[in-house]
Amino acid sequence: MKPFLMTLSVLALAACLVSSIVCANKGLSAETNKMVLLVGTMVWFAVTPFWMRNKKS
Amino acid sequence: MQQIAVDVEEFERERVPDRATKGLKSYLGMFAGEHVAGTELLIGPLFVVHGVTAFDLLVGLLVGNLLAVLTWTYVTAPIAVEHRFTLYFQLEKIGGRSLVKIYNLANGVLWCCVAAAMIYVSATAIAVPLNCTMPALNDWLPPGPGLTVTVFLTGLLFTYVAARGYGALAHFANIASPWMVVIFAVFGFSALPELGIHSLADFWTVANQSIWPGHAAAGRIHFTFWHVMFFSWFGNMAWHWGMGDLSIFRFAKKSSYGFASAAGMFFGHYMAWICAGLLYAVQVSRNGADTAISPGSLASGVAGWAGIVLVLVAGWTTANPILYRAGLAFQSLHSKWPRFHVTIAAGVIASTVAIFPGLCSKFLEIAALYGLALCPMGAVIFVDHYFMRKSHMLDFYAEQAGLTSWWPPLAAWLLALVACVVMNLGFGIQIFFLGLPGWIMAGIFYWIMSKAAQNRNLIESVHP
Repeated sequence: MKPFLMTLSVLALAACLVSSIVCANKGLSAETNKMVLLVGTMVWFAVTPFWMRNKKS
Repeated sequence: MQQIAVDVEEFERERVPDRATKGLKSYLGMFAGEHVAGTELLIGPLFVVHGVTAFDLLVGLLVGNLLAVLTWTYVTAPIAVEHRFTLYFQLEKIGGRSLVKIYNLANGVLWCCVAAAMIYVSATAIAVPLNCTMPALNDWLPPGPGLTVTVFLTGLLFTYVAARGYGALAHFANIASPWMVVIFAVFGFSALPELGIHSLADFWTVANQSIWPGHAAAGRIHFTFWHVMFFSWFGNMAWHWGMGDLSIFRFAKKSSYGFASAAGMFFGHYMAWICAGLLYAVQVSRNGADTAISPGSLASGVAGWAGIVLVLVAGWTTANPILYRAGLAFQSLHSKWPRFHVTIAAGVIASTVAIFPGLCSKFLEIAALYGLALCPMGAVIFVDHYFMRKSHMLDFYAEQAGLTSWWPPLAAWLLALVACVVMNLGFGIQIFFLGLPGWIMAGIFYWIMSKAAQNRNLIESVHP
């Protein structure tokens, strides 16, 4: 399960990055880019706590 | 700027044992996460406001950050790894408990100012959906009740969470770190088309003409390569020259782990500052009259709600440990004061300061002042470590003499600061360039005063 969740988290960040690069090359509208960023952010914060260990601080 | 998170047992009053040392990976992750903070969204635009040119910014940041990494590696980490003590414990051995109390007081006050900037940054994110009126670039007073109330309530919320202890939010900060690095990069990419940059060839032309055209705003010092280089080198001066990161590197297996600071410098203080500058350029390109630095509006302009969330999270995750540490610093003055109440008091002060936008528009000066005010103690530690025994004097003098208060470190600190004020007011040397002279003077003053004041009989008895 953990590798799957980690992959999902990484994909969420990758989607944010790729979306903005495609947008920079005019392959995507700014509004669509913003939507991808929001979804990527939501996926990251929904999934990552399940696999990232809690560091005692 | 930096927050502290050490995921190990503390060993606050003893040498860190070998079994508790940490590997390089821990340091890479820690630096990469902790130097991508809310204040990067102020610093990047402020470079634009100060009229820096593209070459001066890109090369100045490169050189300055490299020097910062080298300082961590060759000045801070070797002392940390040899003694493996916290900054506070080492200061106590050199100057006694009273010195640590005074240092903590200064640290607590400065932390309140830095926390205020973080609170303001996060509040600007909340202000976007609330449609609050934002201040103009050079406004010192808040523009209206909307932003004032938003900032103050944001500060109180952060304060309450910090007063409860920051364990939960620290975990959240760890989760958010990689995402923050990516979103800062996204800011840069998303800003490019709006600035008319569609290829690498476009970048240099637009960078010089529109992003960093080299015109300082009215009332602002014009920044040169040297300003950028020294600011990026000394932006974290309290932590490297000032030895604040002794507390971090005492866990390092080797002093070469100081190179791990490159992860923080080049993600946070290179990429993030450049990307934040791009955001500001987008805002000005849309409306030339809109020169306000409002991180929430800047981020939402190119990244929508994800940008707003980043500004809120980046400010909060950094403000939280700073408020917590400010509370601990003030509490150390009187151990019977409850930490919860002291943190609340520190947070209320920070929240009140945050109401005034002038603080944030002068954040470069405040960051430089923060480093300058604390760095002389690093010089004292440096001289104590390298020169005391060679000069036939005692290191850790307060401990060896059984004193709770030993005056040369404090006197060297204050004299160095007075000398810096004289250089600033009398000779017009800007605060950005005072860090290194202040540090060197503190070291020289400490050596001279120790030579004059250390007890010869005690020295002979320890080193016959």
